[in-house]
Amino acid sequence: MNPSGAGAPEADEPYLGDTSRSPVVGCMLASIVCAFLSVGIIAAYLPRPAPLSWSVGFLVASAALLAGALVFLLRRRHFAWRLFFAVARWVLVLTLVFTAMAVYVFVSDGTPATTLAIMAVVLLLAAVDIPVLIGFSVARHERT
Amino acid sequence: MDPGALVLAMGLSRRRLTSLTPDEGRGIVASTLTTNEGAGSAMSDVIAKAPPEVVAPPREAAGPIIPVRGLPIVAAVIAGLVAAIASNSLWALNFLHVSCGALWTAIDLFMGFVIGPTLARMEVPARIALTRRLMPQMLLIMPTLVLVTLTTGWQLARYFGYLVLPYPQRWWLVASYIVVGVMAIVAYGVLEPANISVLLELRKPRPNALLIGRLMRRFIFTAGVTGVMQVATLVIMTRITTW
Repeated sequence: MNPSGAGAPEADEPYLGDTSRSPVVGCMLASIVCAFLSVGIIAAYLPRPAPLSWSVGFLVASAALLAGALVFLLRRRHFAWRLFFAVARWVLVLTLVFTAMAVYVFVSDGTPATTLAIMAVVLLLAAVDIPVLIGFSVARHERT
Repeated sequence: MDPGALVLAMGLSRRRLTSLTPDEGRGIVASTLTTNEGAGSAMSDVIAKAPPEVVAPPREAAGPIIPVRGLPIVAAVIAGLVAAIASNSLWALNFLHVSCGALWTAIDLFMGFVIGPTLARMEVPARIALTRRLMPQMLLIMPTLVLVTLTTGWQLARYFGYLVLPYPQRWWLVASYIVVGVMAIVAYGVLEPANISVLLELRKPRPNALLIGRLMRRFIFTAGVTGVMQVATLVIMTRITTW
């Protein structure tokens, strides 16, 4: 395999999976951390209104990192897209169930509309982040 | 869960793993899938004993990774969760939170510190058979337990007024958010990708021992972090309930 992990591996080399430090994984993990921080700040204040500037800032950062990760992902050559989607779609089901349940709880608790909207967006971002991260982390090791 | 024992079972050091050719690596896994003597065999013997047609995974290994028959049970549990929240029943919320939370913590600690070391002492084919059957079920059980525990925990905190407590008492709740966040990062960033990759690799006719060995080393790291976080959870929860 070539050192970057992004190109076609050599057929006669011992294959240890994609051992490169991928910017996709870095961006996705940072995006998830930002999403958690955004929700965590609001949760630390609930049921009182939270100062939204930090939460919105982390939300924007999370979205930007997700976009960056997707750009890095789409630029990869020799990637096992079929395996990526096979894994990601099941994980997406799981994360959407988590997101739906969280939104349901916050709605039933009477969370203020603005706060609820920000939390819903952040949770949706995380619901996309996690399948992409797990799908990529699995598919990157598939020898194409 | 410690499927990393698979690699130990093959009798391979890290240095040996990285020096193998692909055919050697595949041959070793093939041997562990079909014989009891893979760990100590000479490499040439190992490869000779592992013709491709012999090492094909059993029939049940070719099905979907997720045990589909368990999905109705998961749906029923989630329906119960929604009903408990909608009815705002203290007993139902308490029951779901305590039972699922206890299972989550117990399973995590049991897998990391009991099943893992036990696997390391089992016969190789038994280890692989157990790993193949246990890990898909864990893919359904653990997310369900986590979902129910966290959701009902939040509702109970609201019910008992913990969410309106002033700081510094409120820090105990914030600490629980941090613990959950760390566990989620470890699970999504390290544990689950390795879990699924190993499962997929084990289902191939010729699993790649080199790749499995590398992925399995992550479990040592995650077992330690998860263990510390679960103990922290116990400390936080017992502290909150004894205010």
